[in-house]
Amino acid sequence: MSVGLDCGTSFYIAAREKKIKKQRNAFLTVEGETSQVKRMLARQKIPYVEKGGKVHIVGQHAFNYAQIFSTSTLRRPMKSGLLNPAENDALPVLNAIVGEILGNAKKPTKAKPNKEVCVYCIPAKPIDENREVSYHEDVLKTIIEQYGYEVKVIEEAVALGYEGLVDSALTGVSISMGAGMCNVAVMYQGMTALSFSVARGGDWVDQNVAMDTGSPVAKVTSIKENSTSLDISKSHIENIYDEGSEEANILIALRSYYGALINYLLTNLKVQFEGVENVPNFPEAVPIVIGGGTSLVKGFVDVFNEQFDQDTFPIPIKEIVLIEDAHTAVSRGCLSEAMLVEEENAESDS
Amino acid sequence: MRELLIEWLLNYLLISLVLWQIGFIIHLLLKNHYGKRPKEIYKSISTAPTAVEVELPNRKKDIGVVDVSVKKHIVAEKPTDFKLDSDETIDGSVKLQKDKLKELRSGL
Repeated sequence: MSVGLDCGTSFYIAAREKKIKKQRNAFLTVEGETSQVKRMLARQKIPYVEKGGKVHIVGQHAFNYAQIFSTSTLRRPMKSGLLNPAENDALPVLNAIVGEILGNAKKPTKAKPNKEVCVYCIPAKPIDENREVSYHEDVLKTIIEQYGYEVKVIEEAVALGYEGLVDSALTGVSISMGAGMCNVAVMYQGMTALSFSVARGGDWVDQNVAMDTGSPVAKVTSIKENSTSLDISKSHIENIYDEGSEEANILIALRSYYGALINYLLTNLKVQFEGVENVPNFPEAVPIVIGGGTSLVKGFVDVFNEQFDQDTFPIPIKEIVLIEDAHTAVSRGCLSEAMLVEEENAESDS
Repeated sequence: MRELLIEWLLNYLLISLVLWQIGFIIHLLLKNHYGKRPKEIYKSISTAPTAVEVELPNRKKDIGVVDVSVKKHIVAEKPTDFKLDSDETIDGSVKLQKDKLKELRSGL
């Protein structure tokens, strides 16, 4: 039973053949005597992690609390797609999240002598931040191995390409729009011709909107994810929101920053493509496939199309497509890879 | 007697003039053809040898970077205790492109 794991800044998502599990990657520390706090949380069925005499509420509950009690700070084990260097309590929380959504691997038997395979994803090296990915990669590998898996790693945008570019012979551009980063891979017949990431994503949008509107970041994120009236393709002139209300201000700011994010991404994709040697020529138009939680907002593809300019873009583009079930697409790509690795392992044994 | 003395004096002047001329010509010839040689010899002897680069005490040789394998000690801290439930669980067959991916890989 192979498993694909998307290790995102905002969500950890594990995909198996018959099940997908999601866990919000956030926590909040509760003050008080440890055993008493744990009893109270257990009674209310609130998930928690204890480490070093501190108790942390984890996941969606932590997120909800942060919205209600604006004084409490939502803590993030990851930032900008990588482990959060400023967060001392990140590793035990991540360990618990991985343990919950993956579970322990089945032990090898005589009939199935190989370990279960887990393929997880890492971002490509960011072009706008001076950070390496290798430490992040090693820590996650160590955590997953603790649960008994044979571990393989692939790049996030490549995993997305395995789900979204199969109909174009794995040729095209795949863009994973996450909370902490946007990952890009230009693929040609299954080979990665160019891959990079930018350290801007949904969090960057939320933080800028929060600063401009004076609202807490958690509230901005909640409105972005849950508002039924948000459509970022609607122009300012056709504003349908109640002018002056806090929600209306947030929605208007969200539209602006989404446009800025997509423009930033496309500009850098063009610059990177023109700056790299030995990139293949694309004689025929190829698709751009988009996935990830930040692309879920209504009107996203319309705004992407508005920002996209074929005249200045270095590759002929056939279409811009939002992949089906964009939130889980990366984890499904990882799962496909894990299943193929398991099949190869079984074939080499027989 | 007087005439003999004048003639002897004139001959003496004439001969000494010729001798001076011969001496002057010899001096010019020696100056032009042999006079510079000793200077040239001096020059060639005094030419400084070309500088030999020596290693300065604080300067290290540029020998490039040697990459070494690092034995990593990654410690993934475990929690003392945890009780988690996934925020969302979606049951049912997950739609995958695995078979197409396999086909593409075998065909590529």
